Amino acid sequence: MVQLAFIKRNTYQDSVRLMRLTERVKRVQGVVRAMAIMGTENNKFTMSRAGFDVSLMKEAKPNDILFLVEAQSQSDAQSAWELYQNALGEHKEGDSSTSSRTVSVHRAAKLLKGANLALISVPGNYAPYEAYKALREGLHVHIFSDNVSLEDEIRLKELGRREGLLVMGPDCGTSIINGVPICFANEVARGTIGIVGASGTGIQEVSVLIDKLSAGVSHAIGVGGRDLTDEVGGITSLMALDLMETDPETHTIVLLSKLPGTKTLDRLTEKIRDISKPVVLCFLGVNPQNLHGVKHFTDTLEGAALEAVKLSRGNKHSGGLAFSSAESESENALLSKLPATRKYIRGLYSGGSLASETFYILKKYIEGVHFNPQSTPSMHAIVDMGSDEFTQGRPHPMIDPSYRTERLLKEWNDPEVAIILLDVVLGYGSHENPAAPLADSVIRAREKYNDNVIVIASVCGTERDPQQLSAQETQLREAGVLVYPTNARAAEAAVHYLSICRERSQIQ
Amino acid sequence: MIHCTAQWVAADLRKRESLQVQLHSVHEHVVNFSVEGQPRMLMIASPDMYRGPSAIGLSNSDLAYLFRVLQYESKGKLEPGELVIGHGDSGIAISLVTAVIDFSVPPCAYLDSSRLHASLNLARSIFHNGKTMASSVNLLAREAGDSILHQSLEGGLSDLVESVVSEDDLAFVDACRELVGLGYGSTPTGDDLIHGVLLTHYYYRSASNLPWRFLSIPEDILSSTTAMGQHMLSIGSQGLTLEPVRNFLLSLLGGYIDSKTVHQLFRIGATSGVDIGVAASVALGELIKQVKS
Repeated sequence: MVQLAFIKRNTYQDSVRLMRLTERVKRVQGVVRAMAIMGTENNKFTMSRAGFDVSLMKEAKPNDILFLVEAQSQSDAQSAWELYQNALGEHKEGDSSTSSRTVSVHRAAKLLKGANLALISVPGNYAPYEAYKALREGLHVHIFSDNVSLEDEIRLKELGRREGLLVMGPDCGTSIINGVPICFANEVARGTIGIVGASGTGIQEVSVLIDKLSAGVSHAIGVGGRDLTDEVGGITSLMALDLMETDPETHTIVLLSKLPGTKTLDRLTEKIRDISKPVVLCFLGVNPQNLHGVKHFTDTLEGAALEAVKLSRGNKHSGGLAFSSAESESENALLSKLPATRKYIRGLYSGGSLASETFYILKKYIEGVHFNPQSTPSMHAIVDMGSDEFTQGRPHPMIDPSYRTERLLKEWNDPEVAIILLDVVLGYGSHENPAAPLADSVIRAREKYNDNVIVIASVCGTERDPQQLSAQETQLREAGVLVYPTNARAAEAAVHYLSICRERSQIQ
Repeated sequence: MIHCTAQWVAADLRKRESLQVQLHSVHEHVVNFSVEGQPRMLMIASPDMYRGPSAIGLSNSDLAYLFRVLQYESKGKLEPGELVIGHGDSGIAISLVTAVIDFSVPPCAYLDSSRLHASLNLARSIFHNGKTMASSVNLLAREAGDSILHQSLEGGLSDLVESVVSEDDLAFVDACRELVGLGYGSTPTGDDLIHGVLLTHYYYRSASNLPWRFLSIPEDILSSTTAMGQHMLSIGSQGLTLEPVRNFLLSLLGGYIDSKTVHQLFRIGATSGVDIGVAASVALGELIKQVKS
């Protein structure tokens, strides 16, 4: 066993960075223990108690960072030290073993040998050029940027098709490639279900529900919201389906989207007929009777997950194929507080696909439901607060929940609102504790205005997400929010409560 | 030389004699200067930074000019009414004849005994659901795990709270020796814990109309931590603290704690705010038990 100490003189790093760095270094092969701390006497003493050789640390002063590593060999310890230097931005040129900073796609591709995907997240005006350069370097491209013109999207995707490279996006929020979450994505189990999706939170919800059903995801490929329009012609979706067909890890495929353009839908259904693996189509809000020759179809995200898991298990409904039961709150207790004058549902969503799913579910049962209306007097309204009109000049509500919490207070104060529907999206990229501000806002609204509104939510996430599903659900429940296991169930619950309200007001 | 006027100045700076300062570190919203012969820093903060003792507030445009004149190890002089950094054309003179903000222990803080427990429990739950990277959050739940660093922090915090609550000077010095400089970050966790416990002790006793006095940390202990750690310990032992800590303690004692106040506290450093808040929660729990208001 080898112990080494490295000292970085007069350097400050915040504690979170040092802790995260330590965790990363511990995962380097051959590293037994590692610490990155300030070289104070107490830290040195504590590390000597932990078994590190005190003589290695004597040169460290309180304002120095002291890096300690115990590894199986000298070279393992050296690898850990290099990772540390890289993390502090002190990477030396020519070393391609770890991440580094660079300002060009070309140099990045050279530095990181073996990379096959570029993530583009620059202002929309510049994104096509960077994506073009990445394609020229032989890289698949994931374009997170929005505000890319339709013409540029078509040009890039045609180039990608010629080169055999995927162009995921633009405005592509989520992918999971070989188990690696890209942009907004959740920690889900790996498995045999591949997802191709034109929507970020749609992919998130389906992958999370697959995980909750004890199955797993092989890959999830985001294609961007315009891919299945007739203008783009589903270039990336069709390529992604081909990849899923040949991928040995993928046994079942889910395709998520809004209703595609007519010509693209024909091309898509033809492709699906040619694929040897079962494909579940999920088009939110589409009547399956309009789809001819499609074997497995659902119009909800929950339905897509259930169907895909069932197919992945040989088309058998196992006894465990269900989500945990819904809230057991006393309906009477909740409804007794609700005056007959309160009769409308308002949905305040951070996820666009979750908002759409709710909208279409409500429309099945209730008349006069509006999506993203300019104003919401006397109507049922579902608002996608992640849409452009809300996010110009400020972060997406999945990152900054403040304007959704403000809106919640405003809706609560509307004397006609009976039910508020919410989504809480977890995973990488999302707010570190998204339930907290919403729960806080519900408590404040109840204190400030009244206790007359029913709040229903679902949390899209897993226990392994950084924000932890159960911790988020607990906060919401403690604030009196009814928490349902899927977004669809939450929407159906809202319909259920509303129907009881109506019956009651008719009796009165 | 450019002349400008500070937007505000901390009251403790106005009392100082003429002092030499030297550039220590530059961050996005704050520039730190070490002060000759003092364990404290002098801080120049933008309007986007929280306010605090030993600090001066500058407008963003004046701060931008300061950034331009700063060089490696830039020197300056702090006079009772003015701070001068650099010389001639590459210098800036900041007038301190401006609004003065006092960050010392308020003499008559409000204490709501009936809501104290509820307030404390709410603060604790917000900590648990907040920044879990802070190593001290585990201490609050007594789930220190088996790492030797956590064990040392847990043992040190327990000794510290006991010594401070009982105002036992010798035990306090021993506890400081255990904790100072211990932990991650440029302000090690141990230093933040001491800061939080001391301030809570001072505020609680002051709000309870009980006699209290400053507990001092010997110089040899102070010098065994980082420069930022020394600063936090030095101001803390004198009852001075940053505005978010002050607001947190006042709302905690007054029984009107809310998540906004706690999240303002979280903004301090990477984990310092959480560490201070956790220390305050542990200390207040003991104060309620042992020192009747």
